[in-house]
Amino acid sequence: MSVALVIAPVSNDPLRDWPLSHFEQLARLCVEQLDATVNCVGIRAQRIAVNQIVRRLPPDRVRNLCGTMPWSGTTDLIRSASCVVANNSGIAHLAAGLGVPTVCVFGASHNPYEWMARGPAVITLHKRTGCAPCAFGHLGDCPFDKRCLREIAPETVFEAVRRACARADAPVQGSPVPA
Amino acid sequence: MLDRLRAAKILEAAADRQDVVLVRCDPDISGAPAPIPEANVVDVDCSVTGPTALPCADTSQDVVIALRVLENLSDYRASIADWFRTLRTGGYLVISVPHQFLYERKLQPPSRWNRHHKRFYTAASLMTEVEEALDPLSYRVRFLEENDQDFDYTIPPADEAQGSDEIVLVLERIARPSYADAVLDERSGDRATGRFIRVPGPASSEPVVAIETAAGPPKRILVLKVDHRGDFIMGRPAMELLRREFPSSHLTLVCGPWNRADAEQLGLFDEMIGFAFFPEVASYVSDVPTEEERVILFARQMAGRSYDLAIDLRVDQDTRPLLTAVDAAQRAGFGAAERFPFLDIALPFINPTVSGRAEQRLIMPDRFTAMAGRHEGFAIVNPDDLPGMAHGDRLIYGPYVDFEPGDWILEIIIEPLASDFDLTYDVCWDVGSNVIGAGILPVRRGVRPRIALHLEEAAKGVEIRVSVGPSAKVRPYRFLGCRVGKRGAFPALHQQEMLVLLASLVGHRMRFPYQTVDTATRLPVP
Repeated sequence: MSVALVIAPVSNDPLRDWPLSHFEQLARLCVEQLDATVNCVGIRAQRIAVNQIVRRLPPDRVRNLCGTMPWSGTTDLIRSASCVVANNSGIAHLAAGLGVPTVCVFGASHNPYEWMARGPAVITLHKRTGCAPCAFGHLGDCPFDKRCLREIAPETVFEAVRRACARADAPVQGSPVPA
Repeated sequence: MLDRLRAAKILEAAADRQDVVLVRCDPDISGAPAPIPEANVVDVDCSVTGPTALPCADTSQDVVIALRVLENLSDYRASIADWFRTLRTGGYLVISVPHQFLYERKLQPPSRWNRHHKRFYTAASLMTEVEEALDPLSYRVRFLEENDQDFDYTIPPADEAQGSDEIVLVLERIARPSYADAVLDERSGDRATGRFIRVPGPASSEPVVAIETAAGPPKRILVLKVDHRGDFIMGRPAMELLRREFPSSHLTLVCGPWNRADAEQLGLFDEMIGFAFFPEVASYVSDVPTEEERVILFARQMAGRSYDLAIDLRVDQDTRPLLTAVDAAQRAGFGAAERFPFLDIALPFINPTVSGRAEQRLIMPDRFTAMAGRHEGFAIVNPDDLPGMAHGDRLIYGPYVDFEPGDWILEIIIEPLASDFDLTYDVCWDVGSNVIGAGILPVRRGVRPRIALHLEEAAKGVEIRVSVGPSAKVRPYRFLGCRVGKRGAFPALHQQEMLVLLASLVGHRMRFPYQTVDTATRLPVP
């Protein structure tokens, strides 16, 4: 099974971002075990941060595309992806709405049942920490080292990616939001 | 190229270095004499797709020079990182690559001149690769040049270029500052605010859950519409909406037996079940079974049936327990999830008729005490002038009732029996310690002042006191109590609108239904 994965690792709020090192491990697992190509998307300003994900991974499999394409290009890339992994961010909503299998790593700042991406093939991963939902808006507010996200293991997300890709082959009910 | 480096004093700095490695893989220059005689030459195979490791220990080299190598290698990240790995602090990594618009003169690969070239370079794209490959806190760029010395710009792209046609980059390895990890830590941008929040519980109670889109639309849907004829008519748009949302589902309706004929006429349902949760005409029946008994009766009637979804199309919350009597995978209805935890789709609507409602009531005079005059029928009547009274002397007080928060309008209904005059009033609680309103109370025909009270919080045992006015004059009067009114918490939505909202919510939710499972056990969790 060859997988075209799109990763959107940086949202507009660091409090919502799954750690970059976790994204790196996820990308490695997907390359090694799913024979995946991984395209990291984001804006130009996120490029240097995303380099931390791609640095130790083969460039022909894992690309840093931050700042290289307009929103419409990102939409096209997502439309053609086997699976999209994102934080609680616009890309997750975009992918879910397009009907692309989506794995959203969702922190504890918001209630996922209120804010999660909706679509025919979405898996929202969420750690039910005792401090959730905190409704904080700044990383510095969190006295627990963002453990709600840090303690969602790359292996757990990898498993969800695998499930999402497997389910993508099965018919899903509902229809994606028209483009 | 080396001339350029000498000009930039890069090679001078490197001249007295001991350990120099020259990396080559361009087949055109492979085997040619090394431009730096004292260098150890390493020829790498450019057909290798994986990383190419230099046969050098970590931090063992003073200078690593990779002339026209990078463009031939697939894994530029690993190659640059490996060259850099071998450098001592203060050592130089010298990279040259052919320039896209000097050497290649083409928008994208393949190269006209060298079939091994995998990528084309500008200064920016070379730096992009370096930035991807290296820890940004471990090096500084000492030299970067697009070298076109003696380049002949008159030669067209189809012919091979003459003159210098390369990009030259020199990085110096620096001692990684002690704060480097902090800079690369995503948290560095946010200073701790020190705000305190709840302490998390034990890890065992904090599962990682997956909320997953569940497969399949509901096949069997139960719709409860058990109220009266008018309610049924008002529920029609919601029922039609449900049929549109679930065109291929099997829809069963439970309705009062009196609505069954109308339901059949609607033609929306595949099956109809009559159940009299309410009497057809409530006022004709005195011995209605308790709610609990009716739920049990309903459970008996629904035994053996199962549904993917059950919806209670009633805003008032009295019928919600019927959903507990149904074997359904999902239950939908109005009400807060806290009050009806069995609801999977809960529309937490306050019913404006019941909660936060507009209110109007009359507080009768018998709830008041008369210090002058007497209770006469429903009224307090003072038939005489009362000489000798002083300003502030109490005439009437009561009724010690509770007021919910909100904006209240209070009317003290008091009429003159002879000529007009003025009294005073105050509204207070806690025996006068909290006055929430006070003023002149005109006792005049056709005048009934409206007193506005704004209560931020509930007031218990509110006292309204009528006293002698500043003129100390008290003429005959009749007191008929107080009318109190409160605007609703919000403009009411029509029942029909609310039912449509619920049907729409159910349709939307079930378009992409989801279930929550524990990622460790794959078992469903609430």
